[in-house]
Amino acid sequence: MPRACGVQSSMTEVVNAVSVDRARREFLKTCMGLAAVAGLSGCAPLLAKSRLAKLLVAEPSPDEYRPVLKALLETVLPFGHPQFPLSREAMFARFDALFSLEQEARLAPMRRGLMLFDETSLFPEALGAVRDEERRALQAYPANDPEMVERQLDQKNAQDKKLLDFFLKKQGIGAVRFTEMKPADRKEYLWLWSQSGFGLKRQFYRTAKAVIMVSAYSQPELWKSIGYQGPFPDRG
Amino acid sequence: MRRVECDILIIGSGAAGGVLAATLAEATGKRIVLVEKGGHFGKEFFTQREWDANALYAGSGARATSDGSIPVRGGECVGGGTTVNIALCFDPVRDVWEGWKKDFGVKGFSFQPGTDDYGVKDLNMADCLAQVRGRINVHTPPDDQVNGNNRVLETGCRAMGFSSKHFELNMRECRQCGFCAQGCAYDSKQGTAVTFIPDALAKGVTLVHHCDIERLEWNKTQGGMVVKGAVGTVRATTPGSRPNAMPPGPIQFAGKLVILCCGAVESPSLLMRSGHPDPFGTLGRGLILHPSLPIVGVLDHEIGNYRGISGTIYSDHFHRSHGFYLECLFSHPVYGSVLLPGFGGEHFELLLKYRSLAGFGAMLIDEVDPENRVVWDAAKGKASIRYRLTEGDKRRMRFAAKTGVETMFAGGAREVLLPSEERLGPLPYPRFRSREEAVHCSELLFTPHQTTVTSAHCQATVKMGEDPGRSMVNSRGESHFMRNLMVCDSSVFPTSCGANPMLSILTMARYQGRRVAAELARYGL
Ligand SMILES: Cc1cc2nc3c(=O)[nH]c(=O)nc-3n(C[C@H](O)[C@H](O)[C@H](O)COP(=O)(O)OP(=O)(O)OC[C@H]3O[C@@H](n4cnc5c(N)ncnc54)[C@H](O)[C@@H]3O)c2cc1C
Repeated sequence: MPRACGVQSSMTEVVNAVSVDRARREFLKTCMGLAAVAGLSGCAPLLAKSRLAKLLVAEPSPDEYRPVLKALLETVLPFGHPQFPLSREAMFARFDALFSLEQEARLAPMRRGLMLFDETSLFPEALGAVRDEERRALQAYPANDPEMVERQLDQKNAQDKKLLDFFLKKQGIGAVRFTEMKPADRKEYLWLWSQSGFGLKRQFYRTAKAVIMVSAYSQPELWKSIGYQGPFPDRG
Repeated sequence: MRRVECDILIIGSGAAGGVLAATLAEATGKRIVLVEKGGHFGKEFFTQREWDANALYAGSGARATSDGSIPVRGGECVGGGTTVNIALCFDPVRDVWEGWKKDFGVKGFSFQPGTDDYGVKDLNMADCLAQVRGRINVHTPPDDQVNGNNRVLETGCRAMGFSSKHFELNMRECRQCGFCAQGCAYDSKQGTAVTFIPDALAKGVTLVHHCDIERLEWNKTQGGMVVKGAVGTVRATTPGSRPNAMPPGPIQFAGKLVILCCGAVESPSLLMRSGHPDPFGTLGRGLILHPSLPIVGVLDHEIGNYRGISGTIYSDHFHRSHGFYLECLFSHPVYGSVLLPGFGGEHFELLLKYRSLAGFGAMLIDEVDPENRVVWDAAKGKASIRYRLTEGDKRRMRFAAKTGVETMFAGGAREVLLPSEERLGPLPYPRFRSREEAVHCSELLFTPHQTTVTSAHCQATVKMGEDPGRSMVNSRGESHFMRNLMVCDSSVFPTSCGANPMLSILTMARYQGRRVAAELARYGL
């Protein structure tokens, strides 16, 4: 198949830029939901007031959110596995290329989303936006009357509290931050997010996993280790 | 603003739009303009990389229900869905159409060959279907083109005592690369972009791509509302696309007859944002998605899976009794890694067995629920797709999941997984180690963002029927509320068309095209 290779590859880059943009948009949306803090009242007792205030008001610095991102990548991808071909450095570089957290102002919610994820003790709290989003989803169907909706929201809250308590007891740890946990605890904590009663938290899990998988499995090194030969030779 | 005048304006160049353009060009000498939002890409553009192919999809591949939980895939390029689909062909399901005649007063669409609907010689579904099948080369590929993955479904069905069948496909000399959904790099797949649309262009149709129609324009006259055209914007041409007939910039089209073919998400949105009347609140409601649950098997040996024709085997064993199909399909690694449950070492171990994985989908013929709908979200400037499985559909989907899991085991799988992180009884997530464990499918809740069902078959949002209280367009596809405006695409089906929809849409478009050509005077043409 005759092809103008130069044209093809530059075209690929253009398209790539466009679609990466899309993938991260969904993740960003989720983080935005998490980070929107209107009505965040009930959680003060759980966190030292000053730390909570800082979390909600101050713009997190790279020194603060980078370790969270790193811990997340290390939890989702098995760098220790003998057959996993990518180094941590290569993967972080790849992720940075797709999500330049430092450079782009509009990725700010993602930075704060990561900080909120790090705060284990906040997990069961009904952050205003999380609850609002869930309420909207429940209200979209007229069969759910307002009282029922609020009851369901309370139940979801209770469910998340139980999940966290169970997790802490099982792992035998206090509510330390995600970044301070041992790898096995981190795995369980991330899993907790997939089990939440609130859609937005499950979506955080799902989209965080998706953007990391996408940035990993679009790389030919990984194709090789799983035996995927990619495009037909004439399209290589 | 640039102004383009024509007799017939067709908006959307997918399954329906492509056939209409060719049929009308072939049968009339009218000036026809075909407008498409996406780019015009040829085989040289298709790189067989999943990531690049997003350029061919609605929302760059990210279109989903409003909560983000169900991907609603659709093509957004010349050829629409037929450029990215996997070429599975089902003839229009006659019972379904007969049901529409009974329940919605739909007229015409005779299935008897030789019938003259509307007094037009040989205007009937049978003849139109034959014409379409011929043009896109619908045929059953030989048995030696069934790859290992499809054999797993075939074997499984046989062992379970379920009937299985070979798909008919619209292809020509398929190279079996396995990249249908990334756009066919060999022009083998006979979508409209390589069949009806070139026919239309050869007959003088003007194709304007990269052009997003923002709204329809209409006049209010004594006799009611009459459509007069549409306005939109031509974007700069994407590198790699074929050249465009119009330069970038705002554009206004004037046409005597306007035919909407934007698919079941965009056709209702365009009507809503154009202020099309909706006196009975039916517009956009009753959305059908054909939700599909992927079922993944792990075998103890390598099979051909991602190479070869994606879908050659299916089972309609449960179609009549439970309204679902088992249809073969397989994912490349990016999509596959996102679908597989979990993360970390366990997830990677599964991907290390990539070549020993098998996949098929349980595709549900979902029921109409008016709460499931498309809404134009003016603030966001895009369609909002609201959908959840009804309780009845969840029940059927649980049964379909259990049946699918058992079939996968019967086909030779050692383990079976669902794309889900739901806890099922003793299972932390749906990873079944034995066939007996399939009973836990009865506990599936299909919780959004926990269990992934996917959709590629949106339909039924601008329903057809003779009662304006329950439908938006009549049996001719003409709006009940605006003259000289037709809708002809997957959105006019009153309910699910009962199978993968492409061939039903193509046949209907052929039918309406031939009818319009014989009834030009109706539209002042
Ligand atoms: C990945 C995938 C696989 C599939 N596999 C199969 C299969 O194997 N068999 C099968 O039968 N069906 C399959 N389908 C479904 C089938 O392709 C669709 O049902 C069919 O294409 C719908 O036809 P349509 O004419 O209604 O709309 P489409 O084919 O979607 O065409 C609509 C066109 O209108 C354009 N448009 C939308 N809005 C505007 C606007 N405002 N201005 C201008 N243009 C606009 C869109 O860009 C699009 O090109 C698949 C779909 C997908 C996405």
